[in-house]
Amino acid sequence: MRFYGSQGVPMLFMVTIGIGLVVGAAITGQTFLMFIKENARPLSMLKVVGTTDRQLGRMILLQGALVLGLGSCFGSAIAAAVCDLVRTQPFLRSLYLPWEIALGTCGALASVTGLALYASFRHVRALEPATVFR
Amino acid sequence: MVSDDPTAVRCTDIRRHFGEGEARVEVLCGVDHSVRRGELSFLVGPSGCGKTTLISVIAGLLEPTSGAVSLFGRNLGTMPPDERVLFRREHLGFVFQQYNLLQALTAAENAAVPLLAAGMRRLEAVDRARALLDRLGLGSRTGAYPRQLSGGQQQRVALARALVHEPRLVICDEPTAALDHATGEGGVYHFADVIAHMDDGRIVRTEAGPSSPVPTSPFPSTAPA
Repeated sequence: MRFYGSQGVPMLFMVTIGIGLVVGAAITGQTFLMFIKENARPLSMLKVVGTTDRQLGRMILLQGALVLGLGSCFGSAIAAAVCDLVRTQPFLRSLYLPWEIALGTCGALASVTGLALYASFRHVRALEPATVFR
Repeated sequence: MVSDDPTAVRCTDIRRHFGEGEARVEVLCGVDHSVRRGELSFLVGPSGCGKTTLISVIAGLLEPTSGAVSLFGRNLGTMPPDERVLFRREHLGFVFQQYNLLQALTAAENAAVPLLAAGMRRLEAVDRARALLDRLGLGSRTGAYPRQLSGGQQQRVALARALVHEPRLVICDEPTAALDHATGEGGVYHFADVIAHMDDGRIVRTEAGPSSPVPTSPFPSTAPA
């Protein structure tokens, strides 16, 4: 442990995770906003025919939950598979995926997705229904 | 709750502008117009004269800068936004120029959208939409996606969506755009009870439909009476 500490590995690891979170948040947010912008007309149409902002919010939330669920499952599965594969390698024997890490990652993903959903919802609320006529 | 007022739509001195300062554009300049219940009213005029803005204001989709709109005796301006959405959902149907069907839904599901938005169970809503599509001659295409339908079939699905919840007022944006000129102006206008001519953000002339001459372009730009 002292070896890792003196090499600055944990710090580098944390920085890498931090950068990953920021990049992930940016990509997720951008993807959700792109979706909203590309679907501005159908969303406006839904608003015109009487779909409430709350109903649209639930649709966006469902979409976010799907993205989060699929992303978490695939990500965790790939991480677990990699850990399992490298277990036989002498230098990487200590690499494993504790449940705390998997849970923490899911939490971080949920935060990132939540932020992206919030931004998307604000965008949907601000959408002018009358744009459907243009 | 709507009143027994025989007037379905009443617009009183509607004004609406977009932009501010030098970019300010007056789109509606004091429109007074009314539509009686059961009346088929056409709003015609050159491109950019304010037709779409006026129907957006009538439908409660745009706030007028000043003036009042009442539908079936209810003043839209005094309604809270949420109530306005519910009012629209219950009493209004829309046909858009570009149909705006949802590509991921079938014809029946598209037609059922207003019912689903109102909270009706999916199966019941889709069944009701199917029955209406059948009446419109699309009984065999209810499971088709919009991309599998012709333009005319898509238009009928859009019409079904506008009518499926039995609204009291149907607002159509450029309903004759898909028709050729002769059918559009020579045919459809003859069904109109009233034709209101718009120009420069005003209604410049209103005439009775069937007995009136077919409107021609360019439209007269006389000052309102």
